[in-house]
Amino acid sequence: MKDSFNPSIEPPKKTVTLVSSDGYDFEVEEEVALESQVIKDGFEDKAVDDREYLLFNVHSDTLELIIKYCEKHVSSRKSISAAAASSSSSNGEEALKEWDEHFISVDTNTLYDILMAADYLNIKSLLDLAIQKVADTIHGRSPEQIRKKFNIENDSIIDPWASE
Amino acid sequence: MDNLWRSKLSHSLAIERTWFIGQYWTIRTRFHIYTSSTPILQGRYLVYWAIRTMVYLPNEITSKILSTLPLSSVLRCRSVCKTWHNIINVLRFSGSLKKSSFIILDRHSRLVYIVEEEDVHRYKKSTKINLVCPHCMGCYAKPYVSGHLCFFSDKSGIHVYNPGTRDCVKLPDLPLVECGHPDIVLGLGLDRSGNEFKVVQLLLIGDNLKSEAYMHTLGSNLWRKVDDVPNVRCFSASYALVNGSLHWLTYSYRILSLDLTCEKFGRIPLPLSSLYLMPDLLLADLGGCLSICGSSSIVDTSELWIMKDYNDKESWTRLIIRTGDVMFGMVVEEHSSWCIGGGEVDFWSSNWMGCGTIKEMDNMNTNQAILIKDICYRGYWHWELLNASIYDGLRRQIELLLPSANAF
Repeated sequence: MKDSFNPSIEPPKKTVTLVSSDGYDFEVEEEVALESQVIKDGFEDKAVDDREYLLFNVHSDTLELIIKYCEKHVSSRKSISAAAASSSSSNGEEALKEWDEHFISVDTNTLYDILMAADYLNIKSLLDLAIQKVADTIHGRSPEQIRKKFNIENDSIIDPWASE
Repeated sequence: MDNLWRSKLSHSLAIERTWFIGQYWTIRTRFHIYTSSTPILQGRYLVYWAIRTMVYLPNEITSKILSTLPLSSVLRCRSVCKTWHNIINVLRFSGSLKKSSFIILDRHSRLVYIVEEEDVHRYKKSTKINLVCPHCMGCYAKPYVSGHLCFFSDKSGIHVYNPGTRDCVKLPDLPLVECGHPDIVLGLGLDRSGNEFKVVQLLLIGDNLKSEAYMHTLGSNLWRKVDDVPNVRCFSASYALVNGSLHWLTYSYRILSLDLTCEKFGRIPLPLSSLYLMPDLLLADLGGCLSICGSSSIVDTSELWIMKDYNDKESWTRLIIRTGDVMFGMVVEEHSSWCIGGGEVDFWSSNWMGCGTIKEMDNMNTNQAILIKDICYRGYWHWELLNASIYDGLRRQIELLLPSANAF
């Protein structure tokens, strides 16, 4: 009976199932799913064995990216707070920023999907990241370039101040 | 038992069908069957559009994107497409667009310069635009609020003008005020709670000079009367929006304040100083603090006071005294940022003096990164810390700007 308690074995992690619009199931850890404010809001009211979320607006390709983002943020938040507790110096936040930048460097269509999904799931940090990325893309471009970049049809009336 | 059934069924009976029509359409269906909960069969149907364009983003997100852009980019975006044009038109007077850091108005040439800070304290880009609003011609420009100006002229009434987007709105005329020409003092402010612009006019009416105040919320169509107006006369030349309240300087050398959210008037005393002798007084918002700048060409001095804690008269602090500079009020905003920011400004490469960077003025070739607070502390300049020396004239000029020791 001596070995009956082994602290190194962690209890099984609670998981939540997320179902994408095209019917794929994604099993993720609870804290990763709780990054989304929408899931967090109704989480406690849901029965434990009924924690399945149907995300009708999120395609599996996008959901995969979103989960990747949330997992990274949960794990790096842990390592940052662990580093702070042991007062060892770490550049965790900077590394995370770099990772974010790399993560959001995607083509316009994917960026659009991420924006929509982050808005739907209400993940504020991801939404801000995507919004900043779009703003950076717009900044310093002419209307014609913006249209081309974002697939926008030219239906505009002529703006006399556009040339300045 | 019931729950177990439900979860088993929903897993095993989830049917997925996928069709591809052409290259772009994908229709995906998922059925869910529940045994006990009321919708027995829940069919969900989703159309997935594979060409995505930013025009289909919800207006809310597009507004957020546009509000993070500098004004010059927003202007360009107006001609991208109709959807964006409409969104910007809604945003233009809401106060949520990013404000240009300040506007310089040259009254003689009627030019407006919008200065935008690209990176804090470092790169400033100014855009020169013509004042195209015909109503504004020849009017004295009041201070700007969030990149907006408020004009008054006898002929055409009150206008709010956004030089950045070149939009001008004419405010409705006041219902006829008796006793002829009242003395009008204007104020434009941004209400913190509702993100709305509010215009206030203070009137002095009749021979016994009775005060009345009216408030207008931009977008509405009427002037509301504000109650409990103190019977004071205000200078019309300047006002300041600090801490959600508008401030005017009164002839009795106090500051009249009006909280824009609860619409209550208040009074703030001025510091006791030689300010009372100065004919040119200017209220300003410096780094979120109410401040007053006075200058006098007769005694040839000017000074700047700042109230560090709002509505605490003990916290009036004198920042700078300067002699022989009557144009002081113009540059005050520029070089006060380093006083208030605790000196977190690069000594060599930022325009903290308001007349160009020291690097450019002295044709220096130095890569030293040194902050002002490093070389100026406890009221003294520590020149020996610089790796290159600056000529005496400039040094004396800088020493004249020395803030009082407690500013740091």
